[in-house]
Amino acid sequence: MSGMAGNKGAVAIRMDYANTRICFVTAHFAAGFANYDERNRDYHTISHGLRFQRNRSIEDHDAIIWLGDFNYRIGLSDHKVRHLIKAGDLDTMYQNDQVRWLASKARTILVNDFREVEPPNGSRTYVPLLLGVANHIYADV
Amino acid sequence: MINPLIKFRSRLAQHEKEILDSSRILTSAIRGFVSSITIPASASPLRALKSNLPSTLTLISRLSCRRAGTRFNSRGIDDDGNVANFVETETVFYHPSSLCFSYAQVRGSVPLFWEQAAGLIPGQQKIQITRSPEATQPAFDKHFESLEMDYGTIHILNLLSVSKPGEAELTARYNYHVQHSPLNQVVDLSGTSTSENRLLESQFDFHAETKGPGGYEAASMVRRLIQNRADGFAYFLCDDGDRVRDGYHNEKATRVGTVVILQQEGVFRTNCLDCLDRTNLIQTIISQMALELFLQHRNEHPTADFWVRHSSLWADNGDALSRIYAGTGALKSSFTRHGKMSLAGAIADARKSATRMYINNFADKGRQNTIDILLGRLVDQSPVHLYDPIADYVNAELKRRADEYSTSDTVAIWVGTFNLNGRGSGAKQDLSAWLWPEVNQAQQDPGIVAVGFQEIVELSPQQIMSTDPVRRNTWESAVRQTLNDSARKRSSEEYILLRSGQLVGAALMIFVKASILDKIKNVEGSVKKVWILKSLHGNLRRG
Repeated sequence: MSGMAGNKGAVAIRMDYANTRICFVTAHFAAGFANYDERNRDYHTISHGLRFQRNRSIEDHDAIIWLGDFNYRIGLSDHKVRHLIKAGDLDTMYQNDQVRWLASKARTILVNDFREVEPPNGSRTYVPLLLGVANHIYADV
Repeated sequence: MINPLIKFRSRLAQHEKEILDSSRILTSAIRGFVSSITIPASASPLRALKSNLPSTLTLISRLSCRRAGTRFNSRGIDDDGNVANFVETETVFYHPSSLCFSYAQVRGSVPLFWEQAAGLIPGQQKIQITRSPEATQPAFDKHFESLEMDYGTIHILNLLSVSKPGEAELTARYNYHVQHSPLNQVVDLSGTSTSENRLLESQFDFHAETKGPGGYEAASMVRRLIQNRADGFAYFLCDDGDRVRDGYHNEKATRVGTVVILQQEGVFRTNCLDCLDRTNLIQTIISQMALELFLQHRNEHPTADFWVRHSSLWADNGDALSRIYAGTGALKSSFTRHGKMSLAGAIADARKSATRMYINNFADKGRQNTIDILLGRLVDQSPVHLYDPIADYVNAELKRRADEYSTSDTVAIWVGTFNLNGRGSGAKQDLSAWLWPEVNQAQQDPGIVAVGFQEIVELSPQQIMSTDPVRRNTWESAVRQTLNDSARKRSSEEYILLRSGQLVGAALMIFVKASILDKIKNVEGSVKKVWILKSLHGNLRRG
């Protein structure tokens, strides 16, 4: 096991709800500001490699919901981000959000948790909620 | 390919069906075991019925294809009520005087949602029950409803151990579901309360009973447990003779076909863990008990030789069924065959255990895959279409008018995720602000609630080697309690845990309202590890 560690990965549960195949995937991608490539590889490993019985993959479903700590960062300095939050400028933050790569790949619903970015008034966690590729709805939860 | 052919045949008119059948393009086959032993007239157990012709003792075992699969890949029940390794075995004794005796038994995996990882070390093959009791009862009831329709009263004979941790858990859950089964109710018939229990159970801890000096011979103690019930079930007996009934008082003599003399009133459903070794041995005894009852009724006493033939058939049956499910012959088959355990038998058992370990860990995934391919069950297999213009027209019309017979429904799904940073204290706090935020009414009361956690345990080497599930259970309870407290406040239906899964720090739990369970099928879980590189000098990067 030298050099490798398997402490991250994905857990998935799927079901048939009437005629609709639903799949939930929770995952914890690699951490670190610069590990953008590793996170993308984590996504590939999971979405292509995770299998259910009879070789069914995540893609073989009608509704796929990814939820987890994907560890993508906003590609701006800490100081800049705090400034943007104070200004309520979610758009610019989103433009620089590494998670846009993930949203473009997965034709899925993405629920994401950012622990690192905390508003200066320390109130709540910033949670961007993305639906598909077309609409982006943000909810400050 | 088979399914389209069978559907096609079912739409044909009677004479067309006969033409298709006589072309022999479709051959019915059973998977299981069939064998007949001829008993010479001189050794016939029915000495009162004189005949020069031999009689036959036959065993027919039919394995269900509904939840077919290899030992570790297919276990327990599915949402349609089918269980793994479900076999119906029929003991048939035919006497040349046209007397025909038959006795049916069934075996099947414990009808719960459970799994067992293959694992190389026997102790490591942990048994996991994957669904909560409330979410299991509907499938359990379906299974026994269908058994009751086919066989009448069912008597469960559970051979699992009460001391081994995994088996004891299965037994406890099994009992719970039997208690809650509608078939297990006292029926009130017109004022007088009669206990018409159609689902009964007995426990016989096979390993504990046969551990003593008697060895496997002590297994016959099971007779005492079920003798009364077995007598009550009786057996099937018919007279197949194409005889001519004597005409009385100058009536014309008439030809009589098959006359049913007695019918079997119920069935024993035996299980152990695999339903191979322990089960086969016990089923041999039950089959013997039924034949004994039959012969007793006719005041006959068979020779030991007859029972040797009977045991031999059953041992062959056990081997065949075991080869299908586990890849080797049955354990204990030497005992079943000869009535006593020998050194050779013990060595054979050890060899079979080792072979099974190899097959179940290295060859079975391939076999399961092959079974799925042949049954057309793999997701990427395309179905075969037969040219059937009438059916095509009907289907097109059905599609066009789909609105007349189908409805669509929406289900609200709440999804939430939280990285816990390895801490467990949060479970004791009030989670309602997270799980039940004050959003608009339309978004309230979801049918499905999916909750994901990361770092539910700290990401240490110890946890990677063997993850402690206690944390996950704590959070499952905390979430469920919060959901149900809120549900109760709004007088709406409570949630039950459908399934949960964990991979070290990542955990996923799905809760649903019990009322939508009948729409949910084929629930499965899976994990995928992601390997990360450690830096040369470093610690594991923590998320």
